[in-house]
Formats: sequence, C-alpha cells, structure tokens
Amino acid sequence: MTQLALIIDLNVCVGCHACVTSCKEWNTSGWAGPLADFRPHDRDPTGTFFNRVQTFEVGEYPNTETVHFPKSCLHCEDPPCVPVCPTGASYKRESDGIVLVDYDKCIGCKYCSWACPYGVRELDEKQRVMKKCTLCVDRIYDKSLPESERKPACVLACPTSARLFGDIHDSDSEVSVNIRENGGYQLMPEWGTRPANHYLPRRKTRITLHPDELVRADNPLKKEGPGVEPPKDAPTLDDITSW
Amino acid sequence: MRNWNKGYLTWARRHRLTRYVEPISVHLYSEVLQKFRLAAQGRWDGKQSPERQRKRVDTFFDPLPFYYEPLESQLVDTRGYPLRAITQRPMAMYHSWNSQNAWLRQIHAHNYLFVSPRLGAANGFDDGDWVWVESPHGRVRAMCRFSEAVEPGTVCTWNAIGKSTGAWGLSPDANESKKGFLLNHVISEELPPHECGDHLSNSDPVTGQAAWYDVRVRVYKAYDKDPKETWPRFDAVKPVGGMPSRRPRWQAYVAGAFGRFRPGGGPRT
Repeated sequence: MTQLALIIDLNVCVGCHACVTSCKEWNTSGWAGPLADFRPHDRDPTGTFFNRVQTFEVGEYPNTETVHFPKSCLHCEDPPCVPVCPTGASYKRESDGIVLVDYDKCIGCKYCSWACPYGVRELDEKQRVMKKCTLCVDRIYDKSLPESERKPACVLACPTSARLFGDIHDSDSEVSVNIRENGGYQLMPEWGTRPANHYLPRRKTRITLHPDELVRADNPLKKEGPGVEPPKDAPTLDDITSW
Repeated sequence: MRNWNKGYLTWARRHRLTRYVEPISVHLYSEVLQKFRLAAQGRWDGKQSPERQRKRVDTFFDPLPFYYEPLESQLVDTRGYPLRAITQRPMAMYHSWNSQNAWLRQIHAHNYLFVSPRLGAANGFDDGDWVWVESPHGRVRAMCRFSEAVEPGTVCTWNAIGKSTGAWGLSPDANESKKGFLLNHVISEELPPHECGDHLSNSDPVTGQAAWYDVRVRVYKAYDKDPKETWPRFDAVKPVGGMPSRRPRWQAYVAGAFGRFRPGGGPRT
C-alpha cells in the first residue's frame, strides 16, 4: 500500500514562505479552490491557506536558534478527522493515503477541525466547507506535466530543497531513506494518529576536508587546453560592463 | 607573470572576460585616498580641501582601512541613548509594495520592535507592550516583541511593513498604518552640528553611503494615556485617479483571474 507524504527538513528551512504562497497559487485555481481572502486590503486580513510557517526561538542569547516550522495536513495513517465526520465528506484514499474532503458532502460543522490535534484544517468562511492540504492531488498524477513536475507545488517552490515528497511505505524511496538515516520524526506520536509527514531535526553540520579535495579536478585551464585566441578587437566583458 | 596568475589571465582573455593579459592589482593601499589626505594636509599642489573640512578629510581619507566609532556615536550623548537600532526585511516581503498583495499581507501585516528580554526587564516593559523608541532626532511609538535572537544592546525591526495611513491602496484602518511603523522617523539626514559644519550629511565620509545603522536610541514604556497605535500619524493619503473607490470584502483568484464566486461553487469530486 502506498502512503504519500512530505518530509520537511528543519535544518534547511529558512522561513521564506515560498511554500505558503506557491501552495495558495496552485490550489486557489485547482481542484480544492478557490482559497478566498476576507478584508484583503483592510484591517486584520484573513483567508484560507493550506500551508503556514510558524517561527519560534530556542535557547537564550547568544546561543539562540530561530526555527522555521512549516505546517500543513500530515495525512495521518489513522486520521482522527475521518471517523468524526457525520456526512462522510472527510475520507482517506486507500490508493495513496491522501486525506481529502468532498466539498459536496461537507456541511461545515467543524467536527474534523476539533478532532485534528495539529490544527491544520481550515474552514473556508466564504464557501462554508472545510479545506486542507491535498498534497496537490490534481497535479501529482497529471500526465500532461513532465514527470519531474508531478510533485506538490510547495516541493517544487522550495529554494533550499527542504521539502521532499514520496511514498513512505516504499523502504527504498528518498523519503524513507531520509527518515531512517537523518532522524525523521512524527509530530505528537502519542496521539496514535501515525502522521505520514515527517520532520528532519536541526543538526550540527560539520565539514571534513580531505587533502585530495583541495586540488580542483575540473580546472578549466587544464581541460580546455590552449584554445583559440579571439581577435584583438573582439568585444570583452570589460566593454559591456562598467562600475 | 607566473606570480600574477598567468594561467587565469590567458584563460580570461580567451573567454573575453578581460581585454588584456595584464596583471590585475587590488589596491589595499589607496593612492586616490592618499591624494585627498595630502591635499587636506596642504602637501598637494592640486585642488585643495575646503578649510573647515581639512580635519575631516585628513582623518577619514586614510589610504589603509581603519576602524573608528560611528560618527553619530561620537557626536551624541551615548549614555542618554545607549542602544543601537537596526532594520532588516522579513523573509516573505521583498519590498514595500508587497503590502498590496493580499496573501503577503496575511503573513506580515505589521511589524514589532524586537528587543532582548533583558532590556525589557531593565526598563520595565513586557513582551507585547507599547514602547517609545527615541533618538536625539525624534521618536516613534511601536509594539515590542521579546527575542533572544537580538543582541541586548541593540533593537531591531522589519522595514517594508509600516505604511502611512491610506498609502499603497490600503484602507485607512489597515494594520500596516495602525500597528506598523517605520524607524525612519528617528534617523537623521544630517549629523548634529559640529566643528566641520552645521549641515553635514549623515553618511560615510568616503563613499557617501547613508549611515542609517549608526542611529542611537533609548526605549521606554509608552504612557497609559497613549493610544494603542503607532506614532507619528499623518492624514490619510487620498486615492488618485484610476484607483478603485471601493474594495471587495471578499476576494479570490481562480485560474489566474480575479474571480467571482460561483453560487454553491467548489470542485466536483
């Protein structure tokens, strides 16, 4: 059985919010949209987001760390939001483990948001239905996209590659290897929800230099040989830049 | 030429990065600055420094790099204004105009003055309190937020968030103008009057780079009678021609269009 999930590396995330805005950009126009905004240019603007970044500090000055913590639906393997739904709108797909909401059945009663211990469900105040991360279900199976782009929008947008996407039940997948080898952990496992999304912890990075790495193997001076000298009047970078 | 990195220079010439295969020397000792200094000292035949600037040019146009205490710190009462105030941009905001974007506004609609909790304890204010940030040039009222990531002798905030009332197409009661603030009001364009002149630019003497980060401030709790909003306040900016007179209360984008809600809308599953 497949269980798709996100792995978020807290050691790499810099809190730029690119995942937040790219998520909303894709999903407002897609299967789960629109994601409306209330009072967009007035006091206390608010709206629906599937993904948010929380920032907090650890430690005391001068040994402080600032942690940026992206949060979205964790696609639990035993999701507490599903059995509480009175209309069956909230469901977990057997084929790939994604937790979704059928807006046609949802009556906006918020039981699922009370049941979710992670606070990742958002009631759309305009449509009065519950919305949440779909792992970009309308994108990851789209055969019209190149295979490299069949990933959630947030994964593609992340400039530091802090977000990985894959099947955590496939022990050879990139996400499984990362969970296993880099100390991937779940949020609040004591609730027994078995979240599919995992986080990689902050860790010290140490650089080990080996003597042979100090010699540049791909030195262009050696690779290119003497080459052809351009004519004396050919333009150079000096001619087109100034400072 | 071996000691001038000949291999790189021939390669650079071949790839048209440079015109000539000639040594590129980086000047640690700046002959240009030394000429200014000699002029100030009266040991140069060419153009001379203005008389009242002689000492200043002689001091700062040093041909070798050196450290000196920021000019403003030399001229103001640093006991009365013991703190430094600096600014940065939040990660999600590229520029002031980002506040026109309804999504980015929801990430950062106002800014705080970030201070060390030690500073709060010493000056009698708590996390989230309204405080005055005062420099010799002016003062700003803002909300403070305790942060262990700020050096205790420094306060810090985000620029690009605070807006004048009604500016950037936002409504007059937008958080950006009610709770957001700019540190600009405590920073001076000019140095305090001193022996080199009454209206000297508050900037680096050599490059002219504005010395925003040199400002010295003190921070104290706002008075009980102070309104819970930032200060200074200005009359609302009036809309100009072409701007929409009314903004929708709800807004959503569908497939790139600024969309209307379909009745009973939503996806089919």
